[in-house]
Amino acid sequence: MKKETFYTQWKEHRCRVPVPKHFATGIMARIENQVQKEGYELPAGLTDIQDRLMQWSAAAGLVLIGLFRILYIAANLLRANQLLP
Amino acid sequence: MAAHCENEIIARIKAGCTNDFEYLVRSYQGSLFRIVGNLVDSSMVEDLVQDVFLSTFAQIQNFDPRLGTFRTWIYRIARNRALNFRKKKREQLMVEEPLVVEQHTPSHDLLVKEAFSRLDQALNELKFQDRVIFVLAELEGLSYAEIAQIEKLALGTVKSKLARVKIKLRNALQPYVS
Repeated sequence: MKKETFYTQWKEHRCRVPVPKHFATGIMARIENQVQKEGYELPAGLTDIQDRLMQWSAAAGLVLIGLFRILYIAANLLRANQLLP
Repeated sequence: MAAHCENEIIARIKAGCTNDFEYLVRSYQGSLFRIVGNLVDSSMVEDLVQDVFLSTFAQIQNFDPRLGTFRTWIYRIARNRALNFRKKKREQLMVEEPLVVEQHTPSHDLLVKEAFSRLDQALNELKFQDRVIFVLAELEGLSYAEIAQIEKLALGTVKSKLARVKIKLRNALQPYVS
């Protein structure tokens, strides 16, 4: 047999890669699921706002604790001064 | 599918008509199975092609028809997926296990089987890029320009690489030629 005939037959043989039945349907079902899931998720902007609110509340809480501590120390100092003869 | 029709479909998908993506899946599934099937181990072909379509859908907003055709774009995604898979798995290139449907006819005698097996082996021994060039040119019939775009190579380099690959493969047949 000629080299060229072998080569051509082999290429034809390698081209025979079967596509599974209902492959396209399966892909579309997965895409639909993905699209639906994304629809129920919070948009990126909203999650950003949530994160910022958490950070701001934590910062405000720490500031309040700090202020309270300073006032407490100041009050104690004043009381101590009053007690001195 | 004509490029302008394809671009219209893509524009509709970008606008939210996701069902239109099925046209693209049906148009490209055959060629993607052939390409990926000739680049990686047969057991993973379906998963990889599925992955190619899903990431194509996810990235479709980034496709710009002014920069190239959809065909070269999706083939490049497939090529990259196959390469990543091979890197991850560090798999040996395909063994003699056939990924194609065998069709035994009286003409497929022992000699032909042996010759095919020798050609498969020669294909496995090729570098990944050479193999991609061979598959796209010889099995898919893409032009040199399209292959150059997918592989990001100069046109001349694609031509010379393909010529070398063909010589290698034909040389593998030497013992079987009368």
